[in-house]
Amino acid sequence: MGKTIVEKILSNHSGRDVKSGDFVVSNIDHVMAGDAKGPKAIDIMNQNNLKFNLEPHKTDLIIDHFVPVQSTHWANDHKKLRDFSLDKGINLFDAGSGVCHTIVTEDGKIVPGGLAIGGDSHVCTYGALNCVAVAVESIEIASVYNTGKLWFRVPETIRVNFEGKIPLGVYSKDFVLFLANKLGENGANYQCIEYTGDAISSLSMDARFTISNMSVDMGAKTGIMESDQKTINWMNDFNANLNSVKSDADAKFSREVIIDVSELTPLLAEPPAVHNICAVTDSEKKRIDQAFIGTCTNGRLEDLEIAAKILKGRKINPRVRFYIAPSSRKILQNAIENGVIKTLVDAGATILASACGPCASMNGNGLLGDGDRAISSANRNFPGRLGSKKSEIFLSSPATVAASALLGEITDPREFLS
Amino acid sequence: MQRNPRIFRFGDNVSTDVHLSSKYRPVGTTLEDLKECAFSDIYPEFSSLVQGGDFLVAGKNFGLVSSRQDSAVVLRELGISCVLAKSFGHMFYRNALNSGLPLIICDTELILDDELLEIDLKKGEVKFKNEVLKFSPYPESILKMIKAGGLIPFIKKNGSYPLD
Ligand code: SF4
Repeated sequence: MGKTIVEKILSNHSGRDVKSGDFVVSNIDHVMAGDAKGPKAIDIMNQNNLKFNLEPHKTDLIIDHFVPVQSTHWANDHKKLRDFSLDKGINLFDAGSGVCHTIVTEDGKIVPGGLAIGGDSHVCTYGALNCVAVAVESIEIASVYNTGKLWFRVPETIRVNFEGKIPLGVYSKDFVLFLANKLGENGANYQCIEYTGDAISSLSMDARFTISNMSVDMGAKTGIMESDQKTINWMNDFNANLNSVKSDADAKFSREVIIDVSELTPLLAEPPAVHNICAVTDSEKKRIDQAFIGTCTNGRLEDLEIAAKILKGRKINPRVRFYIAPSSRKILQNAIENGVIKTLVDAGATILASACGPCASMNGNGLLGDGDRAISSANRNFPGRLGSKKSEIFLSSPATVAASALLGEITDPREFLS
Repeated sequence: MQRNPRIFRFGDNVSTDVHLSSKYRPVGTTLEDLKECAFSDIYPEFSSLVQGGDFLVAGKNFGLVSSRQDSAVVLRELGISCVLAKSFGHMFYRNALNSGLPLIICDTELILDDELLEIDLKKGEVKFKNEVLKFSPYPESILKMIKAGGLIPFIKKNGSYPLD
């Protein structure tokens, strides 16, 4: 019986031959601990006298959710991470370095065929690099710091084939929103989603991360892609050891879905949920008050470049607060060098710190008031995700966000792209 | 007064947000506060009725959505001996076992509200009246972890994981 990618990677990391449904204890290649779950993991280690036994290069500490920090509680937590980093010799990405999943995938430690955990739901972003990444809690981080291993229940896999030529104005965000709708709310619960097909091959790495990132928003435990020449080019910057893993031809999938992307148009996830999808043209002309491009989903260089292309030489509607948080400092630097930041600022955008920013309520950045409507390149839009429960968040590709900021209402980006 | 263990019934898609209701705060909520507000949005009497040894029996996707370790810890602290559902949210599943709260995946529609359940985690059996429901049993290491009270007590006791 053939195996799926996730069955193979969990087998390789445990020295056992496992299949979906089995429990396995696997060696962990990388642990990401951010400012939301990291401080509690350190507390748990201290309270239980657990020693830090992991090789320090196998973990990174990251300050990204509460940046710039807005309360002394989180400021003290940040201090805890900095002290731990110094004490154990662990690398710390401090405030302004970027969003955890973006900087970790830019840093060369996440490799094809690898197994990683992270203290944040969207760690599945690494899947675009052919790495199985699973979101965990503070106690699991503490336990891996102590033992280097973690138990898993091997998930089944849904294989999604994206085929066809990508139409103008359609981006990887539109692929994944369409899929979220097709699978339905939590349609992938406790499963791995494997993304494949010629439309995936034609995407850049930046665009692929958007898709793997949102696996968790369909309920999946993780998402994965095969690696190809583009993955290798990405990894070559780091001299990494490549061990790409593919599903066998006779692997068993719980479901196979085929999506013809040539039929797609720009899409929106309307509140209150990610799977609540409509065509941009069906919601056009709805007033918007805030627009945001950033996050681990869609704050990469290519996303900023697409926005700049639409906004070059134009001014956004002055009624709109338009925030941009480049997803890492490296992306910010590149976007300064190639003139994209100037174009965006000239158009009326406000550049925020490379951090989570107005993605979620917790850091208090760019919150929405009662009745406010936002369009965002992020991944979640439940009521209260960003401030008032009486506000609305529409999710879309960065192109649709930029076009909507321009006119101050939900706008089809294709008008500006010919 | 101690009564026989009873069943608390829940439907499909009960999210971890509902487990702890809107009273949940990321900072400064104690375990005692959380115990009082367990399920208070959908089942206000729950925390006053529940006793040690009771069972939760639910439909699909119990414990969906966000990763809240606390929602599993609270159920364990309230003395819930086991949660049975058709399926679980993946983060809740991990959090529960890591907190020493056993979960069972089975066809919960076959269980009536007034059954007396007998559960054998090792054999993978739920017994009631004359019925026996089978579920896929946990391996030895996971059972040991549950018995130890969760992941941290388990590795403290054993140093690491036995591979089985
Ligand atoms: S950008 Fe948003 S979704 Fe991504 S890690 Fe930060 S808060 Fe989470």
